[in-house]
Amino acid sequence: MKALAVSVMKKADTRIWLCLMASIATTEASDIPPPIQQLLGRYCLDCHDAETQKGELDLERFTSIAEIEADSGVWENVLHQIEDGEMPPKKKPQFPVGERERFTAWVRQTLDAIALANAGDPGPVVLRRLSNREYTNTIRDLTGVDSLDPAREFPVDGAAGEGFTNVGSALVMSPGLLTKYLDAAKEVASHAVILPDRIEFSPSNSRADWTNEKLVAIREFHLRHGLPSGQAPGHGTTVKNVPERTVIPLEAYLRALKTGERDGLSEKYLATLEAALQSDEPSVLFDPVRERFRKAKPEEMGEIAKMIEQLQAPLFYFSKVGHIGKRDAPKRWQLPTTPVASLQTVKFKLPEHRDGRTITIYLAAGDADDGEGDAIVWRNPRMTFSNSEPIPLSNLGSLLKEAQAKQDRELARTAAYLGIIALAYQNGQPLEDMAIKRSLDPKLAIDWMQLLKLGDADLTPSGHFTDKIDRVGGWEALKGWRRGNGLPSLLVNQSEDAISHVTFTIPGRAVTVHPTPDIDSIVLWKSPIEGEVTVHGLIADADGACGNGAAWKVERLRAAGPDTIANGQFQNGGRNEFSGKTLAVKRGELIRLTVMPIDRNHTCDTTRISLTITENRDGGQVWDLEKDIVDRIHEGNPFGVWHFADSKPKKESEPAIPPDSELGKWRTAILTGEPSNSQAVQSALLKPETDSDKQIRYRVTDLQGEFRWLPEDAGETEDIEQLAPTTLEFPMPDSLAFGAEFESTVELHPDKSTNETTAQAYASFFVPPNPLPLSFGELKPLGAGKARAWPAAGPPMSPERPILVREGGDAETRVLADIAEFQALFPAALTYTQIVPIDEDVTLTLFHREDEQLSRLMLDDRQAAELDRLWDELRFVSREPIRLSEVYDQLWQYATQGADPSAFEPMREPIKTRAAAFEKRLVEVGPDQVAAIVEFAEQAWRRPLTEGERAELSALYDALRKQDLAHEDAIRQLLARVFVSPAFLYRGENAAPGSDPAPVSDWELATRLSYFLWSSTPDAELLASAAAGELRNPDVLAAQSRRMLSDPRIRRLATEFGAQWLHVRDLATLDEKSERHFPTFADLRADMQEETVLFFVDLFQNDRSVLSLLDADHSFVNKPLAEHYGIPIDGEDWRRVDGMRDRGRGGILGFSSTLAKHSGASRTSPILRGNWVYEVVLGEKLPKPPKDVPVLPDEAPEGLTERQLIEQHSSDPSCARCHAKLDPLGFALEGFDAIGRFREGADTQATLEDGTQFTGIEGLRSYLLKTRRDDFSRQFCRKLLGYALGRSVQLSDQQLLNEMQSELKANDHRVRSAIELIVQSPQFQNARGRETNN
Amino acid sequence: MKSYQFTRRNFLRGAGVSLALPWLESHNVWGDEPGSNEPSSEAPVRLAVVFSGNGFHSKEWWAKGEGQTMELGKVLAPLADYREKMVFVSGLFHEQARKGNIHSSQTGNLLSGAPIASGGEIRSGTSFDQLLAQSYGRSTKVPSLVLGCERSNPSVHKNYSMLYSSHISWSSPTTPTPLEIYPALAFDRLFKDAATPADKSVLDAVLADAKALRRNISSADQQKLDEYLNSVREVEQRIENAGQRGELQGWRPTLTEPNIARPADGIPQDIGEHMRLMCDIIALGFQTDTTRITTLKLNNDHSALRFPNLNSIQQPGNGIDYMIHHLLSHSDKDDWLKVNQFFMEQLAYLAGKLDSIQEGERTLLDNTMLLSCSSMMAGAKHDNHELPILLLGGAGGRIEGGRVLDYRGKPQRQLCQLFLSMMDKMDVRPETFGDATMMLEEV
Repeated sequence: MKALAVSVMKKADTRIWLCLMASIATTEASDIPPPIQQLLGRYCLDCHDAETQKGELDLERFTSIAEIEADSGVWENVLHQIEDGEMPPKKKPQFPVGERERFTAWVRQTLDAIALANAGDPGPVVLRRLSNREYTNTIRDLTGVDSLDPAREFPVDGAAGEGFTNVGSALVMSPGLLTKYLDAAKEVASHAVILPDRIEFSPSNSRADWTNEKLVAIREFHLRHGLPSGQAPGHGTTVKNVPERTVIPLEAYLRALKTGERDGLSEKYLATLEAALQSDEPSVLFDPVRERFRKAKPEEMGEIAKMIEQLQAPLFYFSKVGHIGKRDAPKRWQLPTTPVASLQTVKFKLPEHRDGRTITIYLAAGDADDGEGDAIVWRNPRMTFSNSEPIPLSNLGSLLKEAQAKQDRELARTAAYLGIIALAYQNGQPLEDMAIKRSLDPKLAIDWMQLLKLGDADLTPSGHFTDKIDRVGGWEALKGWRRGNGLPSLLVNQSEDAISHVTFTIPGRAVTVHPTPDIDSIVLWKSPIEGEVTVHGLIADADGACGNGAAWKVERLRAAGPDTIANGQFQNGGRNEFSGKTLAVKRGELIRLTVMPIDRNHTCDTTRISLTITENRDGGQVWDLEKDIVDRIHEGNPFGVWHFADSKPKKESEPAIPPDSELGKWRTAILTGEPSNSQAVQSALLKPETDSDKQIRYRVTDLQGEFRWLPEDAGETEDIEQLAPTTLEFPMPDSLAFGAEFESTVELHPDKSTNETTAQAYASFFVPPNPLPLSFGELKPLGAGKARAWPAAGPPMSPERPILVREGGDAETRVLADIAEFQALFPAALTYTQIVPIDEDVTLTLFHREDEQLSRLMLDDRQAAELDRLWDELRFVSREPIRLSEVYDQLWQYATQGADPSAFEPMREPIKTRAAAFEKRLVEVGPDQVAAIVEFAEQAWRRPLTEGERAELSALYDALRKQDLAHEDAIRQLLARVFVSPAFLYRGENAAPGSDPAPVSDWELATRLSYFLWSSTPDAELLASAAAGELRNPDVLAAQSRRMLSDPRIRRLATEFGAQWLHVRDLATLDEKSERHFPTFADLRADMQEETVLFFVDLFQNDRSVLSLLDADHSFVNKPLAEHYGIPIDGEDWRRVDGMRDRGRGGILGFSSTLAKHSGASRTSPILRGNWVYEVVLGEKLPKPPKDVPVLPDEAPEGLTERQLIEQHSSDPSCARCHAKLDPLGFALEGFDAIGRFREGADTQATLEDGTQFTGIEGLRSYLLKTRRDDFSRQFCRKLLGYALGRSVQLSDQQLLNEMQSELKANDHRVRSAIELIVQSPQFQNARGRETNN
Repeated sequence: MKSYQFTRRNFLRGAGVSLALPWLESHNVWGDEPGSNEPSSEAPVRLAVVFSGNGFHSKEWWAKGEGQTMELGKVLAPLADYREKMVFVSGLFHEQARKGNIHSSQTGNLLSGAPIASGGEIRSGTSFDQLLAQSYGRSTKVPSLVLGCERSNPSVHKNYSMLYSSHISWSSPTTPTPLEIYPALAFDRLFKDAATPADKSVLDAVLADAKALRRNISSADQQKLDEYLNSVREVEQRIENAGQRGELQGWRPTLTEPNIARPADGIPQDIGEHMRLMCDIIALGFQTDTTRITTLKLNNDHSALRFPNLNSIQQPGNGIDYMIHHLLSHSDKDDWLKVNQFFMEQLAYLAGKLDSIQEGERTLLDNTMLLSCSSMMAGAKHDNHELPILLLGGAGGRIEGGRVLDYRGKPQRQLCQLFLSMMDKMDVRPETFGDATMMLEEV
């Protein structure tokens, strides 16, 4: 019969089958046989008649089998109670021997017949709202965004049926919840990214993030085809300060040509590259590359790539993207150079060190790899200096020789020089005259005098402001001086009232100065008298709103050097005054007031100054800065005694002469009038021994130092001719090279070269390779004249070492063609991956696209189209054209206030045109976007839409627009409407008219299947199968089920069915443990739950045995859980571990999740665990507990274990009935504490009611596996079926449960056999008719 | 603008106890009778039900005497200040709650007295607070506020859904009213008017969806879908009513805007703080007349709360964290008593809060019926033949406080009689409710 039923189910049309069964049910309906009625009356109806209804049970109302069929659950319970010995109660009359069996046999037969007759009844499945979990999963699967959690604050769903939260009756709706659904729908809709013809969803709800996601997508596209420049050999170093870009992974391509490993590489580029490398066409650039490539092994391709990249780097340069589009700016970012010239300019700084080493300038000539002996000529090669005449390289040798001779000669006469200086100092005799008289060099005499600081210093003021300023900030009264356009400056306020402008305030009739961080402001007083003066001054911040104060000093400048009269500094808003400084001045000496920015770090430093100098004699003069200049400020600079100037602070004044040097001692003696020893100075200078004397010697002999050893006229320059390949050397002492630059131009020799000649010239202080290979050196600005045409974007660049050719010659044409070919094949950048330029502060470029090298060299049409689409979406999502237009307007307004915005003028038209086109497009794509929502609704509603529904969605959009919602807001609201519809929130199934069951539609079946296996919406493949009408084909259905079981989404079945069945689904948030007793639990609970989930995932994905739930030797742990279990593992991550049984665990009985869940807050509970095994694992039913149960103490009293405590409690006869069934099962698990750890010494011996004995988890396991195997597999099947159907399992399901069990047995208990039977069953595939009375 | 006041006559026409679609049918009925809004100068009567599960200490729930000299059992000690506004009621019970399982089937029908379905079904009866919400409650923006401080337990226990253990408010016999446990969201439910005309359009559209769907599904499914339909309608109506307040004549609420800040998102760590926040929100809802009916479930029956915040008497120096509430109730010891008192402190907090708000001559507490109830008398015994019932407040002068009413041993002692009496104070007078056909005269 069983076999028959299976075959009928599989082959026959289910509808016919159900009708057949229904007819059996009606024909077999008959009265209850009299003997049964008598037994019922005698042993049951005393209490359970219509009047007494003890336990709310009326058995008198059942007069026919049809009535039993209508309420068969009652009779299942009757059977259970009698067989279990619960009924009749012990104190009441009992069934005679044999009668009890007769009665139960009849009830059983009757129920079996009813079950069979109704087998396949879809049962009462109430309309199901998506549970919170299903809702969340569905949203995530539809949007592809796993971080969405719109139901996080929804009320907890109720469970019903077989104990799962997917039963319609327990999934309620209320106004409050509906409001939450509406809010959630709007929240989800806010994550929609609305594209021209579709929508997608983002983890973010901000446009900036959406834009960024698109940027990332483009960058990822770039990186699929190119290397980031930082990872490419050579690129990071040879091209500096260039933003993110991708380059050709040359090494991989070159290797592919050698090895044939072409995976992930562009066939298009491979072909082009191969052709170029195999060509025989001579090329100045390709030839050396080809030669090396042909000889090289595959592992040497890195070297070849580096060679190409070094040639390539100077062949391109990069402009600033931020300027593209502006007037006179370049149009592109990557620009080719032209490394060919008839004339090359050479200029470089020589190294700066002063430790006596030799520095050599090398001039080299190369033949540019064409093998000819070419001649070049260096024009006017020379060393230039900032403060002296150039030295021709051609004369360097003779000049050095001459200087050396002069030093040797004059230093031997040091004592003589010192002698005349002493006279000059002491007697005021003219130094130069004395020198000439004694045949000494008068210039050297002055040098000595200055070194010793014994003569008159230069007191000529310098650094005067040259430009007048008027009407500062529009104020007529504000006038002053500065140099050029900038700061520092000096201002006066000619009005009586203070004037405030921006942040500063200038008092009436006051003078201010303004230094900059780099440059001090200076006011000088040049003494017109000789005598004694007193100086007063005030220095005060005039800009308290900004900046950080200033520092100042007042000095007297004399020939012997400066001395400080007063100084100070103040914080923002502060002021200093000084007065009464009396000093003697000589005519022409200076008093200098210097104002410096404090710490040299701020610009808001307008500072008020006043300075008064009074001559200390009767009728003496008074010079008052304010009085003297405020009204006459523009009459000149200097104005009378006053000079207004600025000055770069001197880094360090020239070093003093060390006092312990011989020269220092000599100077001190002269100053104090004591005896001096000039001979000792001379000896120390010629043969210095102390560090101080060596220091003096270096200073004195320095060729560029304070002593003028070199002749003022360095002689005429001469050009230098050179034949390739040769190198010329020009050595010199480092003191001469210090601060010098080498400058020259170089060209082909006018006589010794032809139109065919190519050569290269190289000048450096490094030794050049010999012979010189083809190389372009680094990039440098291409001449000052051209740079000015392109001020903002930086000058065009050119390689420092071009190939020298004759202008217009054949060589030029040939070389240019070679270079262009090389540049085309090896661009320095494939793409501008930065996209958002950051190379300028003010730019109108939001996104810069430059990837045509990529498209040209590597992409096929499909790929190129994808890149175009990504760009279009970036511009669409970011609304770039509109934003740009807005930014343009702002920039224009901003720029016109104080600067010249005309550089942006050429951009106006294109920006405005694009913005207008974009606005137009937004309107045009509106209908497409509405259509996209309608398409989306089909997915969301899990079925095709009716025409009416489509029309209604469009109509709602129109209505929303009429409510003044912007287009995008209306689209989002429309999307929210899709998510709040009953078609989304409920799994509505059309019921067939009448009362007969009928198959659900293909769409509904797909939905049933996906919510069973995935707790979520059907995916595209399942929907396609439904659309094709194939899902009812058992093979297709089975194949889909298998596919879905292998999918990661099966985790939801593991959680919602597996973990929920075992009552540990919400363990991760279980808050029932005492932190005091179990401080580790809170951190472990999620891991505990995860173990259970992963176990079920593995069970379903790998089609394992259902019995493995009891006897698995494997489980899944991460580090914390492994530590909890005492299992040593390496690493933190989740992994499968085997050997769990040897460790005293294995299967659900040993999960810390189940053990912890079924324990108290602070102790274990054998009752809870026993009850769990009994009811949840075995599916047994207990009688109701008595209402007045004795109370258990919270902790075991002294001397009693928890077990003994319970045994005491359970010895109460009213309790014993149940506890005898439960407690032993729990005792066996006493080896685990209340959070599932092992514990020693617990009594795990168990004796069941029937006398069966076992010990510990192992004993319990083998009892369950051997004695209770069928009960366990029955319970598994019952729970799985109840979960799959979303209702309680009922009598009419017995047949299916039997089949599931036998299928399991026949298939090594592999779980999928049971699942497949469920999805193929009529219960799963049909629904009751509309008129069926539930 | 009209307020939705209604007369007893039209209410009785629409509101049978087994009313399946209370909002659906009643919608037009009220609209038809604009003349029924009598101006009133009296503050309306408010109802607050406060539930705690698992009963109380078996020996310390009692009260004797009257008025100021009333003596109270130790559980009630925190309420000593409110003796004169308290009616202590003993001896009432539900016949139907005596059947079935312990816990769940003693709780799900606590406010309805209805039978409870087991197995896969979820069925009880419309609770009296929700019946009031569907009529009396409609004159305010939010007909009723159903709050909780403990999450429900999504499982099935002894063939009864645990929904029953955590839901005492039922808006239809098959719809346990979802509880709001987030204080911030409860606050929003009262005061946030974020819904827009565009939302209204969406609701119109999905209402049409539901009606279309309803045509093709089974009658059982139709009943389920009606939960949705009714919910949409009520939310729509709330949108319509938004901004139409202030049309009351005579009496005005003493507060128009909330005077406390919106609570922080999430659930407070401290259970006491959670409970007090919910009490604050109830008081605010009443004071602003945003709602008149509230139900607060402090914990579930079969509750898993622990109380590390309370100092244990039995384990000095520690919190009462070693047992969950449910198991603690079986112990009947000092710590259990302490936990009972903690719950009564929350009740006292709410009473005190309401009593501190003056509404004319009376305080808000005087205008409120604050009903404290549990599903059983003593947790240790699971006994519910006499339920622990307590009334605080004066129902606008209609209930006299300071009394002990003892129905023990009396033939007519249905708790539903008390519900009829309480509904009467709010001018809602169905002829029968649950297993009662008459009111308790003394109340």
